[in-house]
Amino acid sequence: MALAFIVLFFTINYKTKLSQIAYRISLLGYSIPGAVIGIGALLFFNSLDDVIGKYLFGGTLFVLVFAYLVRFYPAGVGSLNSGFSKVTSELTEASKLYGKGEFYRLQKVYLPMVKGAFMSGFLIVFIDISKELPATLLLRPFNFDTLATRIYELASNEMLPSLGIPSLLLLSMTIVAVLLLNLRIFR
Amino acid sequence: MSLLKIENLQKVFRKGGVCVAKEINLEVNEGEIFTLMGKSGSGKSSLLRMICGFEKPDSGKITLDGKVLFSKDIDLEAKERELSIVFQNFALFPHLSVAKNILFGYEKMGKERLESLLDKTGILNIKDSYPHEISGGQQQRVALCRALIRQPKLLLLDEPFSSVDSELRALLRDELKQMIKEFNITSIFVTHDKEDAFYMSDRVALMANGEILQIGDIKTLYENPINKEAAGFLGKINSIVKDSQEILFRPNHITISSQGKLEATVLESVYHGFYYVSVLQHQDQQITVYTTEGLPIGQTIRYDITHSVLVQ
Repeated sequence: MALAFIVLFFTINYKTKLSQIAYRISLLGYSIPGAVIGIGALLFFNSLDDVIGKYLFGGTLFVLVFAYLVRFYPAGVGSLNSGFSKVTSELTEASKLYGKGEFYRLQKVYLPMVKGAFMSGFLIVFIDISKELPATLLLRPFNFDTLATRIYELASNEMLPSLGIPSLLLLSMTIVAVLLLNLRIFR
Repeated sequence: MSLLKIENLQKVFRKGGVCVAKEINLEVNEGEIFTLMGKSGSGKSSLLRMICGFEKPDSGKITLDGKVLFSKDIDLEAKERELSIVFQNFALFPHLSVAKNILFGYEKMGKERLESLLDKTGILNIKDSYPHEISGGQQQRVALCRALIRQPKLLLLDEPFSSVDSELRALLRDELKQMIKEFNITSIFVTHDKEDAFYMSDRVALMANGEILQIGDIKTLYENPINKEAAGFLGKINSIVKDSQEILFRPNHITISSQGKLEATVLESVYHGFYYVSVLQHQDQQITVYTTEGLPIGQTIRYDITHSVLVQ
Protein backbone atom coordinates (compact mmCIF):
# COMPACT_ATOMS: atom_id res chain seq x y z
CA MET A 1 0.00 0.00 0.00
CA ALA A 2 2.86 2.34 0.87
CA LEU A 3 4.48 1.61 -2.48
CA ALA A 4 1.18 2.18 -4.29
CA PHE A 5 0.80 5.50 -2.46
CA ILE A 6 4.27 6.72 -3.39
CA VAL A 7 3.95 5.57 -7.01
CA LEU A 8 0.55 7.26 -7.38
CA PHE A 9 1.77 10.48 -5.76
CA PHE A 10 4.63 10.79 -8.24
CA THR A 11 2.60 9.55 -11.22
CA ILE A 12 -0.01 12.23 -10.60
CA ASN A 13 2.42 15.03 -9.83
CA TYR A 14 5.04 14.28 -12.47
CA LYS A 15 3.16 13.12 -15.53
CA THR A 16 5.65 11.87 -18.09
CA LYS A 17 5.14 9.24 -20.77
CA LEU A 18 7.55 6.90 -18.99
CA SER A 19 5.78 7.22 -15.64
CA GLN A 20 2.41 6.56 -17.30
CA ILE A 21 3.73 3.46 -19.11
CA ALA A 22 5.38 2.14 -15.92
CA TYR A 23 2.13 2.76 -14.04
CA ARG A 24 0.08 0.83 -16.63
CA ILE A 25 2.51 -2.11 -16.67
CA SER A 26 2.46 -2.29 -12.88
CA LEU A 27 -1.30 -2.87 -13.01
CA LEU A 28 -0.98 -6.03 -15.10
CA GLY A 29 -0.37 -8.22 -12.03
CA TYR A 30 -4.03 -8.45 -11.07
CA SER A 31 -4.98 -9.99 -14.41
CA ILE A 32 -2.29 -12.69 -14.25
CA PRO A 33 -3.18 -15.91 -12.37
CA GLY A 34 -1.39 -16.47 -9.06
CA ALA A 35 0.17 -19.71 -10.30
CA VAL A 36 1.76 -17.93 -13.27
CA ILE A 37 3.14 -15.20 -11.01
CA GLY A 38 4.38 -17.89 -8.61
CA ILE A 39 6.27 -19.78 -11.34
CA GLY A 40 7.59 -16.50 -12.76
CA ALA A 41 8.91 -15.40 -9.36
CA LEU A 42 10.41 -18.86 -8.77
CA LEU A 43 12.26 -18.83 -12.11
CA PHE A 44 13.40 -15.23 -11.71
CA PHE A 45 14.83 -15.60 -8.20
CA ASN A 46 16.39 -19.00 -8.95
CA SER A 47 18.19 -17.45 -11.95
CA LEU A 48 19.23 -14.55 -9.72
CA ASP A 49 20.67 -17.01 -7.19
CA ASP A 50 22.57 -18.70 -10.05
CA VAL A 51 24.03 -15.38 -11.14
CA ILE A 52 25.05 -14.43 -7.59
CA GLY A 53 26.39 -17.92 -6.99
CA LYS A 54 24.71 -18.14 -3.58
CA TYR A 55 21.42 -19.57 -2.40
CA LEU A 56 20.09 -16.20 -1.28
CA PHE A 57 16.46 -15.84 -2.36
CA GLY A 58 15.13 -19.29 -3.31
CA GLY A 59 12.67 -20.71 -0.78
CA THR A 60 12.63 -17.56 1.36
CA LEU A 61 9.67 -15.50 2.50
CA PHE A 62 11.01 -12.60 0.42
CA VAL A 63 10.02 -14.35 -2.83
CA LEU A 64 6.50 -14.93 -1.54
CA VAL A 65 6.18 -11.30 -0.46
CA PHE A 66 7.46 -10.20 -3.88
CA ALA A 67 4.82 -12.37 -5.60
CA TYR A 68 2.10 -10.89 -3.36
CA LEU A 69 3.34 -7.42 -4.28
CA VAL A 70 3.11 -8.12 -8.01
CA ARG A 71 -0.26 -9.79 -7.67
CA PHE A 72 -2.02 -7.41 -5.26
CA TYR A 73 -0.34 -4.08 -5.86
CA PRO A 74 -3.03 -3.17 -8.47
CA ALA A 75 -5.76 -3.79 -5.86
CA GLY A 76 -4.05 -1.27 -3.60
CA VAL A 77 -3.68 1.21 -6.44
CA GLY A 78 -7.36 0.82 -7.32
CA SER A 79 -8.44 1.75 -3.79
CA LEU A 80 -5.97 4.60 -3.52
CA ASN A 81 -7.02 6.03 -6.87
CA SER A 82 -10.45 6.89 -5.48
CA GLY A 83 -8.73 8.71 -2.61
CA PHE A 84 -6.37 10.58 -4.92
CA SER A 85 -9.31 11.71 -7.07
CA LYS A 86 -10.44 13.83 -4.10
CA VAL A 87 -7.28 15.87 -4.49
CA THR A 88 -8.44 17.94 -7.49
CA SER A 89 -6.02 19.65 -9.86
CA GLU A 90 -6.85 23.00 -8.20
CA LEU A 91 -5.97 21.61 -4.76
CA THR A 92 -2.74 20.23 -6.17
CA GLU A 93 -1.89 23.61 -7.69
CA ALA A 94 -2.82 25.42 -4.47
CA SER A 95 -0.56 23.09 -2.52
CA LYS A 96 2.27 23.68 -5.01
CA LEU A 97 1.87 27.44 -4.83
CA TYR A 98 1.41 27.82 -1.10
CA GLY A 99 3.21 24.71 0.20
CA LYS A 100 6.84 24.25 1.13
CA GLY A 101 7.87 21.35 -1.11
CA GLU A 102 7.05 17.73 -1.86
CA PHE A 103 7.30 16.33 1.65
CA TYR A 104 5.17 19.12 3.08
CA ARG A 105 2.47 18.52 0.43
CA LEU A 106 2.61 14.79 1.03
CA GLN A 107 2.26 15.24 4.77
CA LYS A 108 -0.30 18.09 4.84
CA VAL A 109 -2.50 17.36 1.84
CA TYR A 110 -2.16 13.90 0.36
CA LEU A 111 -1.81 11.73 3.48
CA PRO A 112 -4.78 13.25 5.36
CA MET A 113 -7.00 13.33 2.26
CA VAL A 114 -6.14 9.81 1.11
CA LYS A 115 -6.09 8.29 4.62
CA GLY A 116 -9.53 6.61 4.32
CA ALA A 117 -8.78 5.14 0.89
CA PHE A 118 -5.39 3.98 2.16
CA MET A 119 -6.96 2.10 5.06
CA SER A 120 -9.71 0.54 2.97
CA GLY A 121 -7.11 -0.46 0.36
CA PHE A 122 -5.07 -2.06 3.13
CA LEU A 123 -8.09 -4.13 4.20
CA ILE A 124 -8.91 -5.19 0.63
CA VAL A 125 -5.32 -6.30 0.03
CA PHE A 126 -5.32 -8.04 3.42
CA ILE A 127 -8.46 -10.03 2.50
CA ASP A 128 -7.03 -10.89 -0.93
CA ILE A 129 -3.70 -12.07 0.50
CA SER A 130 -5.28 -14.12 3.26
CA LYS A 131 -7.29 -16.03 0.61
CA GLU A 132 -4.50 -16.40 -1.93
CA LEU A 133 -3.55 -20.01 -2.62
CA PRO A 134 -1.65 -20.89 -5.86
CA ALA A 135 1.34 -18.56 -5.47
CA THR A 136 1.53 -19.27 -1.73
CA LEU A 137 1.58 -23.03 -2.30
CA LEU A 138 4.38 -22.65 -4.84
CA LEU A 139 6.56 -20.16 -3.01
CA ARG A 140 6.07 -20.56 0.75
CA PRO A 141 9.16 -21.55 2.74
CA PHE A 142 9.26 -24.91 4.51
CA ASN A 143 7.08 -25.11 7.61
CA PHE A 144 5.31 -21.91 6.67
CA ASP A 145 1.54 -21.98 6.41
CA THR A 146 -1.12 -19.39 5.80
CA LEU A 147 -4.73 -20.02 6.79
CA ALA A 148 -5.56 -20.71 3.14
CA THR A 149 -2.78 -23.27 2.65
CA ARG A 150 -3.65 -24.92 5.96
CA ILE A 151 -7.31 -25.24 4.96
CA TYR A 152 -6.26 -26.57 1.55
CA GLU A 153 -4.00 -29.19 3.11
CA LEU A 154 -6.60 -30.31 5.63
CA ALA A 155 -9.28 -30.50 2.93
CA SER A 156 -6.98 -32.48 0.61
CA ASN A 157 -6.37 -34.97 3.42
CA GLU A 158 -10.09 -35.08 4.19
CA MET A 159 -9.44 -34.06 7.82
CA LEU A 160 -12.84 -32.45 8.03
CA PRO A 161 -13.15 -32.03 11.84
CA SER A 162 -9.83 -30.13 11.97
CA LEU A 163 -10.85 -28.01 9.00
CA GLY A 164 -13.61 -26.17 10.87
CA ILE A 165 -11.60 -23.81 13.06
CA PRO A 166 -9.19 -22.41 10.41
CA SER A 167 -12.09 -22.09 7.93
CA LEU A 168 -14.24 -20.21 10.44
CA LEU A 169 -11.25 -18.06 11.38
CA LEU A 170 -10.68 -17.07 7.73
CA LEU A 171 -14.37 -16.42 7.28
CA SER A 172 -14.64 -14.27 10.41
CA MET A 173 -11.51 -12.31 9.46
CA THR A 174 -13.09 -11.52 6.12
CA ILE A 175 -16.41 -10.56 7.73
CA VAL A 176 -14.67 -8.24 10.19
CA ALA A 177 -12.73 -6.67 7.35
CA VAL A 178 -15.90 -6.10 5.32
CA LEU A 179 -17.65 -4.60 8.36
CA LEU A 180 -14.69 -2.30 8.95
CA LEU A 181 -14.83 -1.17 5.33
CA ASN A 182 -18.30 0.18 5.98
CA LEU A 183 -17.12 2.44 8.78
CA ARG A 184 -16.92 6.15 7.93
CA ILE A 185 -13.21 6.35 8.67
CA PHE A 186 -12.46 3.95 5.81
CA ARG A 187 -14.40 5.97 3.24
CA MET B 1 4.06 52.27 -13.37
CA SER B 2 4.02 48.80 -14.84
CA LEU B 3 4.26 45.92 -12.35
CA LEU B 4 3.77 42.90 -14.61
CA LYS B 5 5.18 42.83 -18.09
CA ILE B 6 4.51 40.07 -20.60
CA GLU B 7 6.51 40.07 -23.83
CA ASN B 8 5.92 37.93 -26.91
CA LEU B 9 4.46 35.06 -24.93
CA GLN B 10 3.78 32.00 -27.04
CA LYS B 11 2.27 28.65 -26.15
CA VAL B 12 0.96 25.80 -28.28
CA PHE B 13 -0.42 22.70 -26.58
CA ARG B 14 1.21 19.57 -27.90
CA LYS B 15 -2.06 17.66 -27.72
CA GLY B 16 -4.22 18.90 -30.60
CA GLY B 17 -1.80 21.69 -31.53
CA VAL B 18 -4.08 24.36 -29.99
CA CYS B 19 -2.41 27.75 -29.72
CA VAL B 20 -3.43 29.32 -26.40
CA ALA B 21 -1.03 32.26 -26.54
CA LYS B 22 -0.05 34.00 -29.77
CA GLU B 23 2.69 36.60 -29.27
CA ILE B 24 1.01 38.10 -26.22
CA ASN B 25 2.26 41.48 -25.05
CA LEU B 26 0.73 43.31 -22.14
CA GLU B 27 1.55 45.38 -19.09
CA VAL B 28 -0.35 45.53 -15.83
CA ASN B 29 0.05 48.72 -13.83
CA GLU B 30 0.61 48.88 -10.11
CA GLY B 31 -2.62 49.01 -8.08
CA GLU B 32 -5.03 48.33 -10.94
CA ILE B 33 -7.54 45.54 -11.49
CA PHE B 34 -6.74 44.22 -14.93
CA THR B 35 -9.33 41.92 -16.49
CA LEU B 36 -8.69 39.17 -19.01
CA MET B 37 -11.97 38.64 -20.78
CA GLY B 38 -12.86 36.03 -23.35
CA LYS B 39 -15.04 33.06 -24.13
CA SER B 40 -14.06 29.60 -22.89
CA GLY B 41 -11.10 28.33 -24.88
CA SER B 42 -9.87 31.85 -25.66
CA GLY B 43 -6.66 31.27 -23.68
CA LYS B 44 -7.33 33.57 -20.72
CA SER B 45 -7.01 30.88 -18.04
CA SER B 46 -3.96 29.42 -19.76
CA LEU B 47 -2.34 32.85 -19.69
CA LEU B 48 -3.08 33.08 -15.97
CA ARG B 49 -1.57 29.63 -15.43
CA MET B 50 1.56 30.67 -17.32
CA ILE B 51 1.91 33.79 -15.16
CA CYS B 52 1.47 31.61 -12.09
CA GLY B 53 3.99 28.99 -13.22
CA PHE B 54 1.58 26.08 -13.56
CA GLU B 55 2.00 26.02 -17.34
CA LYS B 56 5.29 26.51 -19.15
CA PRO B 57 5.21 28.88 -22.14
CA ASP B 58 7.07 27.90 -25.31
CA SER B 59 8.76 31.28 -25.55
CA GLY B 60 8.52 34.87 -24.37
CA LYS B 61 9.25 36.67 -21.15
CA ILE B 62 7.28 37.39 -17.96
CA THR B 63 8.59 39.99 -15.52
CA LEU B 64 7.05 40.92 -12.17
CA ASP B 65 8.32 44.08 -10.51
CA GLY B 66 11.62 43.79 -12.38
CA LYS B 67 12.12 40.12 -11.44
CA VAL B 68 12.11 37.70 -14.36
CA LEU B 69 9.63 34.90 -13.71
CA PHE B 70 10.03 33.26 -17.09
CA SER B 71 12.39 33.70 -19.98
CA LYS B 72 14.49 31.53 -22.25
CA ASP B 73 16.82 30.59 -19.37
CA ILE B 74 14.65 31.17 -16.31
CA ASP B 75 11.52 29.37 -15.16
CA LEU B 76 10.76 30.06 -11.51
CA GLU B 77 8.61 27.62 -9.56
CA ALA B 78 5.11 28.82 -8.65
CA LYS B 79 5.97 29.35 -4.97
CA GLU B 80 8.97 31.55 -5.85
CA ARG B 81 6.96 33.98 -7.96
CA GLU B 82 5.62 36.20 -5.15
CA LEU B 83 2.08 36.01 -6.40
CA SER B 84 -1.12 34.42 -5.15
CA ILE B 85 -4.20 33.06 -6.81
CA VAL B 86 -7.88 32.70 -5.90
CA PHE B 87 -9.05 29.62 -7.77
CA GLN B 88 -12.34 29.09 -9.57
CA ASN B 89 -13.77 26.89 -6.80
CA PHE B 90 -11.58 28.52 -4.16
CA ALA B 91 -9.60 25.25 -3.71
CA LEU B 92 -9.76 25.23 0.08
CA PHE B 93 -8.32 22.11 1.70
CA PRO B 94 -11.42 20.29 3.03
CA HIS B 95 -9.61 18.63 5.95
CA LEU B 96 -8.14 21.87 7.31
CA SER B 97 -9.86 24.54 9.36
CA VAL B 98 -10.23 28.10 8.05
CA ALA B 99 -7.19 29.29 10.03
CA LYS B 100 -5.07 26.33 8.89
CA ASN B 101 -6.14 26.85 5.28
CA ILE B 102 -5.01 30.47 5.43
CA LEU B 103 -1.73 29.61 7.15
CA PHE B 104 -0.99 26.67 4.82
CA GLY B 105 2.75 26.76 4.12
CA TYR B 106 3.08 30.02 6.03
CA GLU B 107 2.55 28.88 9.62
CA LYS B 108 5.37 30.76 11.34
CA MET B 109 5.34 34.02 9.41
CA GLY B 110 1.59 34.31 9.07
CA LYS B 111 0.43 33.91 12.68
CA GLU B 112 0.89 37.59 13.51
CA ARG B 113 -1.10 38.77 10.49
CA LEU B 114 -3.83 36.13 10.73
CA GLU B 115 -6.00 37.76 13.41
CA SER B 116 -5.97 41.21 11.81
CA LEU B 117 -6.66 39.77 8.35
CA LEU B 118 -9.56 37.65 9.65
CA ASP B 119 -10.88 40.69 11.49
CA LYS B 120 -10.63 42.96 8.44
CA THR B 121 -12.44 40.45 6.24
CA GLY B 122 -15.08 39.71 8.89
CA ILE B 123 -14.43 36.01 9.32
CA LEU B 124 -12.73 35.96 12.71
CA ASN B 125 -15.69 34.05 14.17
CA ILE B 126 -15.29 31.11 11.77
CA LYS B 127 -11.55 30.58 12.05
CA ASP B 128 -11.97 27.10 13.54
CA SER B 129 -14.71 26.00 11.11
CA TYR B 130 -14.10 23.73 8.15
CA PRO B 131 -14.78 24.76 4.53
CA HIS B 132 -17.91 22.61 4.24
CA GLU B 133 -19.39 24.34 7.29
CA ILE B 134 -19.24 27.88 5.86
CA SER B 135 -21.11 29.74 3.10
CA GLY B 136 -19.86 30.47 -0.44
CA GLY B 137 -19.19 34.09 0.46
CA GLN B 138 -17.18 33.09 3.50
CA GLN B 139 -15.25 30.55 1.43
CA GLN B 140 -14.32 33.33 -0.99
CA ARG B 141 -13.05 35.47 1.88
CA VAL B 142 -11.01 32.56 3.23
CA ALA B 143 -9.49 32.00 -0.22
CA LEU B 144 -8.72 35.70 -0.45
CA CYS B 145 -7.14 35.74 3.02
CA ARG B 146 -4.98 32.75 2.07
CA ALA B 147 -3.85 34.66 -0.99
CA LEU B 148 -3.26 37.94 0.86
CA ILE B 149 -1.49 36.72 3.99
CA ARG B 150 1.70 36.26 1.98
CA GLN B 151 1.56 39.91 0.91
CA PRO B 152 1.95 38.99 -2.76
CA LYS B 153 2.93 41.53 -5.37
CA LEU B 154 0.20 40.31 -7.69
CA LEU B 155 -3.15 38.68 -7.04
CA LEU B 156 -4.65 36.43 -9.71
CA LEU B 157 -8.38 35.72 -9.71
CA ASP B 158 -9.47 32.85 -11.92
CA GLU B 159 -13.23 33.24 -12.52
CA PRO B 160 -13.96 33.28 -8.78
CA PHE B 161 -17.72 33.71 -9.30
CA SER B 162 -18.26 30.96 -11.85
CA SER B 163 -19.76 28.44 -9.44
CA VAL B 164 -22.24 30.72 -7.65
CA ASP B 165 -25.75 31.86 -8.52
CA SER B 166 -26.42 35.37 -9.85
CA GLU B 167 -27.64 36.82 -6.54
CA LEU B 168 -24.61 35.66 -4.58
CA ARG B 169 -22.42 36.62 -7.53
CA ALA B 170 -23.35 40.29 -7.20
CA LEU B 171 -22.70 40.20 -3.46
CA LEU B 172 -19.33 38.45 -3.82
CA ARG B 173 -18.33 40.86 -6.57
CA ASP B 174 -19.02 43.85 -4.32
CA GLU B 175 -17.09 42.33 -1.43
CA LEU B 176 -14.14 41.28 -3.55
CA LYS B 177 -13.70 44.64 -5.23
CA GLN B 178 -13.98 46.43 -1.91
CA MET B 179 -11.33 44.18 -0.34
CA ILE B 180 -8.93 44.40 -3.28
CA LYS B 181 -9.14 48.19 -3.21
CA GLU B 182 -8.78 48.23 0.58
CA PHE B 183 -5.63 46.12 0.45
CA ASN B 184 -4.48 48.09 -2.60
CA ILE B 185 -3.19 45.04 -4.40
CA THR B 186 -2.56 44.74 -8.13
CA SER B 187 -4.87 42.08 -9.53
CA ILE B 188 -5.54 40.17 -12.71
CA PHE B 189 -9.13 39.05 -12.93
CA VAL B 190 -10.21 36.40 -15.42
CA THR B 191 -13.82 36.26 -16.54
CA HIS B 192 -16.13 35.51 -19.44
CA ASP B 193 -18.93 37.57 -17.90
CA LYS B 194 -19.37 41.14 -19.15
CA GLU B 195 -21.09 42.29 -15.95
CA ASP B 196 -18.10 41.13 -13.91
CA ALA B 197 -15.81 42.95 -16.33
CA PHE B 198 -17.85 46.18 -16.15
CA TYR B 199 -17.95 46.12 -12.37
CA MET B 200 -14.45 44.98 -11.47
CA SER B 201 -12.07 46.35 -14.07
CA ASP B 202 -9.82 49.36 -14.33
CA ARG B 203 -8.60 48.03 -17.69
CA VAL B 204 -9.62 45.05 -19.80
CA ALA B 205 -7.89 42.84 -22.35
CA LEU B 206 -10.23 41.09 -24.76
CA MET B 207 -8.95 37.65 -25.75
CA ALA B 208 -9.92 35.27 -28.54
CA ASN B 209 -8.10 32.24 -29.93
CA GLY B 210 -5.01 32.92 -27.85
CA GLU B 211 -4.73 36.50 -29.09
CA ILE B 212 -5.35 39.82 -27.43
CA LEU B 213 -7.81 41.73 -29.59
CA GLN B 214 -7.83 45.01 -27.68
CA ILE B 215 -6.72 46.48 -24.38
CA GLY B 216 -8.28 49.55 -22.80
CA ASP B 217 -10.61 50.90 -20.18
CA ILE B 218 -14.07 49.39 -20.24
CA LYS B 219 -15.78 52.51 -21.67
CA THR B 220 -13.37 52.67 -24.60
CA LEU B 221 -13.89 48.99 -25.34
CA TYR B 222 -17.66 49.37 -25.15
CA GLU B 223 -17.93 52.50 -27.24
CA ASN B 224 -14.95 52.19 -29.57
CA PRO B 225 -14.14 48.53 -30.16
CA ILE B 226 -11.39 47.78 -32.63
CA ASN B 227 -13.47 45.37 -34.73
CA LYS B 228 -16.77 43.51 -34.90
CA GLU B 229 -15.47 40.59 -32.81
CA ALA B 230 -14.28 42.92 -30.05
CA ALA B 231 -17.58 44.81 -30.22
CA GLY B 232 -19.51 41.63 -29.46
CA PHE B 233 -17.65 40.97 -26.19
CA LEU B 234 -19.24 43.65 -24.03
CA GLY B 235 -22.84 43.45 -25.11
CA LYS B 236 -25.35 43.26 -27.89
CA ILE B 237 -24.38 44.92 -31.14
CA ASN B 238 -26.61 45.88 -34.09
CA SER B 239 -25.50 46.00 -37.66
CA ILE B 240 -27.21 47.87 -40.52
CA VAL B 241 -26.05 48.74 -44.01
CA LYS B 242 -26.36 52.35 -45.12
CA ASP B 243 -24.80 53.83 -48.25
CA SER B 244 -22.88 50.56 -48.78
CA GLN B 245 -21.28 50.93 -45.34
CA GLU B 246 -21.86 48.60 -42.42
CA ILE B 247 -22.72 50.56 -39.29
CA LEU B 248 -22.42 48.88 -35.89
CA PHE B 249 -24.17 50.38 -32.90
CA ARG B 250 -25.29 49.44 -29.39
CA PRO B 251 -29.02 49.00 -28.57
CA ASN B 252 -28.93 52.06 -26.28
CA HIS B 253 -27.32 54.30 -28.90
CA ILE B 254 -30.47 55.37 -30.75
CA THR B 255 -33.14 58.07 -30.36
CA ILE B 256 -36.67 57.66 -31.62
CA SER B 257 -38.30 60.74 -33.11
CA SER B 258 -40.61 61.64 -35.96
CA GLN B 259 -37.70 63.52 -37.60
CA GLY B 260 -35.42 60.46 -37.53
CA LYS B 261 -33.51 59.69 -40.73
CA LEU B 262 -33.94 55.91 -40.50
CA GLU B 263 -37.10 53.85 -40.59
CA ALA B 264 -38.03 50.48 -39.07
CA THR B 265 -41.06 48.39 -38.11
CA VAL B 266 -41.56 47.32 -34.49
CA LEU B 267 -41.75 43.53 -34.20
CA GLU B 268 -41.64 43.18 -30.44
CA SER B 269 -41.39 45.35 -27.35
CA VAL B 270 -40.84 43.65 -23.99
CA TYR B 271 -40.94 45.29 -20.56
CA HIS B 272 -37.76 44.68 -18.52
CA GLY B 273 -38.47 46.68 -15.38
CA PHE B 274 -36.85 50.06 -15.92
CA TYR B 275 -36.45 49.76 -19.70
CA TYR B 276 -37.96 48.08 -22.77
CA VAL B 277 -36.18 45.72 -25.13
CA SER B 278 -37.62 46.07 -28.61
CA VAL B 279 -36.88 44.24 -31.83
CA LEU B 280 -37.16 46.30 -35.03
CA GLN B 281 -37.13 45.28 -38.67
CA HIS B 282 -34.79 47.60 -40.60
CA GLN B 283 -34.89 46.67 -44.30
CA ASP B 284 -33.81 43.00 -44.29
CA GLN B 285 -32.10 43.17 -40.88
CA GLN B 286 -33.45 42.87 -37.35
CA ILE B 287 -32.06 45.19 -34.70
CA THR B 288 -32.50 45.32 -30.94
CA VAL B 289 -32.99 48.61 -29.13
CA TYR B 290 -33.34 49.63 -25.48
CA THR B 291 -35.83 52.39 -24.79
CA THR B 292 -37.44 53.90 -21.70
CA GLU B 293 -40.92 53.67 -23.27
CA GLY B 294 -42.53 50.71 -25.00
CA LEU B 295 -42.87 50.87 -28.80
CA PRO B 296 -46.12 50.20 -30.72
CA ILE B 297 -45.92 46.69 -32.19
CA GLY B 298 -46.53 46.49 -35.95
CA GLN B 299 -46.09 50.22 -36.53
CA THR B 300 -43.33 51.99 -38.40
CA ILE B 301 -41.13 54.34 -36.41
CA ARG B 302 -38.32 56.75 -37.31
CA TYR B 303 -35.02 56.81 -35.46
CA ASP B 304 -31.45 58.09 -35.46
CA ILE B 305 -28.21 56.43 -34.38
CA THR B 306 -26.58 58.65 -31.74
CA HIS B 307 -23.26 56.83 -31.63
CA SER B 308 -21.93 54.18 -33.96
CA VAL B 309 -19.20 52.03 -32.41
CA LEU B 310 -17.75 51.04 -35.75
CA VAL B 311 -18.24 51.87 -39.41
CA GLN B 312 -16.70 49.52 -41.94
